[in-house]
Amino acid sequence: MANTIDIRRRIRSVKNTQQITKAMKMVAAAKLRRAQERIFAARPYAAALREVLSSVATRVEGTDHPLLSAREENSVLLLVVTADKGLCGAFNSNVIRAALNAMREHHWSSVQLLPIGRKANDYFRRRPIPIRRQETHALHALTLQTAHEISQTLIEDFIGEKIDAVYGVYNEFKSIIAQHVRVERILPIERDWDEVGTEVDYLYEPGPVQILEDLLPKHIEFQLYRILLESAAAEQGARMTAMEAATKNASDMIEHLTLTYNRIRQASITKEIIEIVSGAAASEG
Amino acid sequence: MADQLPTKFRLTVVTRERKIVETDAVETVLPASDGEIGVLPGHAPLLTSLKVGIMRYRTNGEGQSLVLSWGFAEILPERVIVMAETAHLAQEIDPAAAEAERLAAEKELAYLSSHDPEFAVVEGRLEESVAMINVHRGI
Repeated sequence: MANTIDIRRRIRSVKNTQQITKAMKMVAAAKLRRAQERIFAARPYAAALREVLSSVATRVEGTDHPLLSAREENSVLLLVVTADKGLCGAFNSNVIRAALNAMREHHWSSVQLLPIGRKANDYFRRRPIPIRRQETHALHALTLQTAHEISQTLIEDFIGEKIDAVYGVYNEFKSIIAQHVRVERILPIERDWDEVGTEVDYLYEPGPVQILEDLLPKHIEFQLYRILLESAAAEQGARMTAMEAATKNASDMIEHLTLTYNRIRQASITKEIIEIVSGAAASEG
Repeated sequence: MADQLPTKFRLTVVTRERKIVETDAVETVLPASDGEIGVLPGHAPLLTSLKVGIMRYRTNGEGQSLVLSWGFAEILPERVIVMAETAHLAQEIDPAAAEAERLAAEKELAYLSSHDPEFAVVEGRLEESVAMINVHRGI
């Protein structure tokens, strides 16, 4: 019976695939743990930076530091963060869709892109949208240096008034099973810390203005670093979920195929018995 | 009645990659951008930027040194937070690597003019490696 052989072959192939998806899930879980640790490790710094920023910014009343000054958003730069690899569910397409939606909604007169991650680069390379900077290796080795270089480009363009605002589109790491696409303004810096301003009257060395000037670029750099970390963790989470689902689907499929296989085998046995029995009956008669 | 001065303060040193120190300290010396600052409990609130250099602190009895490069410090009467670009505890420093780094930075510096934007970066690396060597020697 050729049919049973075919089914057996399919069962074997699905089993192989399942082994791969299972392994990928394990790998994603291990990488996720590492990515999560990095996010946690950056938290104390984030808290400290926020506190210091708020106290300086409230102290330096009415500064129009260029990085804080909002102007009409005509030309905008979108930072689109995807993964380098696929097989992580809708992770990449969600981000790209969110970026396209943002462009459609806001009617910016000119948009530039800074795609991070190979998937975003592959997608936007074939579209008629100018790309500010190729960033294909940023995720490969996620370091502070990368965040620093990107932030330099952004700050230069913003201060040189080549762009009026910078938005980041990325997957936020909510939990292991949940990612959430966020569109977040990076530049100009939002003054949302004003309410938290401390009452303390500080002395400043060298001076409050100088400190603010040093702090703001650091803030941008850190925001980028945070976005990259979030996205990296979210990617592993998404891949874990996707591979878990794939493994389960493979199990279902194997079960179904095994059932069919047994049924066909049984049918062929029954058929053979009937043939033998009827053959015997014919020779007796 | 005057307020009682605290006898210790909470010292925290963080970088973007990790929290390095969190302890109660009785004294610390920071490499502020305008020169070293000594901090004792009850210091007036101060925000300062930091440059490359050696930071020291003393808990009850024990002293410890770190090499910092740039960053900021927030000083309050009962708390000191140091946010550094990079920070290395004295015992983590590899003197051979620091020495190699010093030589490399010196060589690079010789080819750069002082107007080059790279100059400050390499100079910082040189200062950091020198500070590391000094800390290691216990200077």
